[in-house]
Amino acid sequence: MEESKVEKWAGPPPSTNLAPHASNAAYGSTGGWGGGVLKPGPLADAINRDFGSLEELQKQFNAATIGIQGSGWGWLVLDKSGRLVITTTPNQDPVIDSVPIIGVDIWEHAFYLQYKNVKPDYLAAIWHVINFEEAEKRLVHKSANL
Amino acid sequence: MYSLARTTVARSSITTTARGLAAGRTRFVAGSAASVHTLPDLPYAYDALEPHISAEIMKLHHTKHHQTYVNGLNAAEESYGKATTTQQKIALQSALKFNGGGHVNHSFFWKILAPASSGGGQLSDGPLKAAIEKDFGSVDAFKKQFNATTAAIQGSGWGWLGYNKDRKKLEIVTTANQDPLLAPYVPIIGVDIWEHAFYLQYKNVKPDYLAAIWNVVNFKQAETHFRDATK
Repeated sequence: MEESKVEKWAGPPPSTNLAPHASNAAYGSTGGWGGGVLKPGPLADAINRDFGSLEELQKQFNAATIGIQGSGWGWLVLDKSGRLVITTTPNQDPVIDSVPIIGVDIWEHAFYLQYKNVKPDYLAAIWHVINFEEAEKRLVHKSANL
Repeated sequence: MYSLARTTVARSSITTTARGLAAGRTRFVAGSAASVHTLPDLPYAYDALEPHISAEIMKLHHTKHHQTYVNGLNAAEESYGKATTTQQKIALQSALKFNGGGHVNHSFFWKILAPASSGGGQLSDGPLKAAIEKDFGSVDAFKKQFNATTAAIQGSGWGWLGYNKDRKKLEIVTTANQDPLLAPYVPIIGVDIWEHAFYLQYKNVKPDYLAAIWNVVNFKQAETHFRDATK
């Protein structure tokens, strides 16, 4: 996941509650950055089409990412047939033959100081700061190089 | 010793502990066809390796990370025991290798470390020291090369001093993720360079961790490995 500017978090602390878009929207909009907010649009449509719901995507994504044996990244990618697919890469291998839409770093340095060995807590929390607007741009433009 | 002894016992009501196994005790479960791997005790207290490796790291590393490999290995072996097709068995290979390697490697690791009060960090004259000097020039040159090689691993993995039985010499080798060191090498010293092994204390500064750990390497145990390998 690309890091752009990092500013002071303006919302309540992230909870481990995966579900409600409503609570995300409540502080996402006041936060000003929109992190964690999936608005209606092409990305929401594609997620619902290919996973049934955002919750189901998150569940499968987190399971796949936790399952990496070693260091690596979890990805939501747009494959050549136009479907959203969850994949992983080892170490620092980038996504090559599809368009990365969302990426999550699961190297221990990405979470260990805060979450120690408890990867599920990190993965639950990070969805509160996923930049869905950026992800949607990548989907629409079929490119991560924007 | 560098092996997990695993014996299948069907319908046994005997509970036994097999001491001296590098992998800790193996418990035979009544009525089951497989043994159950267990987390070996640390040979020292969690804070015994301070200030070189913190108690916080040792506790998490042992009770969380290593325990998870033990649990994963038991689950994978149980599934493997029930697998009927070749495809099912192949599908379980990566879980067996990852968790089995994690259990083997960490069991080895706890014993290759020792507090200074028990001789950690002290390499006395003897066959191991002589072999290191022969194959690397000096003990310092060996440590320098070991650290550089281990720090350069791309991703998670282990740095090893291994005795190459074919070439009859000591070599510095690395393995990725939880891959164990296998033939033709006999592991003499192993260092975990997964970030969980050092990050809480050393953050991203791997060289500081690698410099510090030499203060608690159990060279006596390493020499035992070397003697066994060169018998």
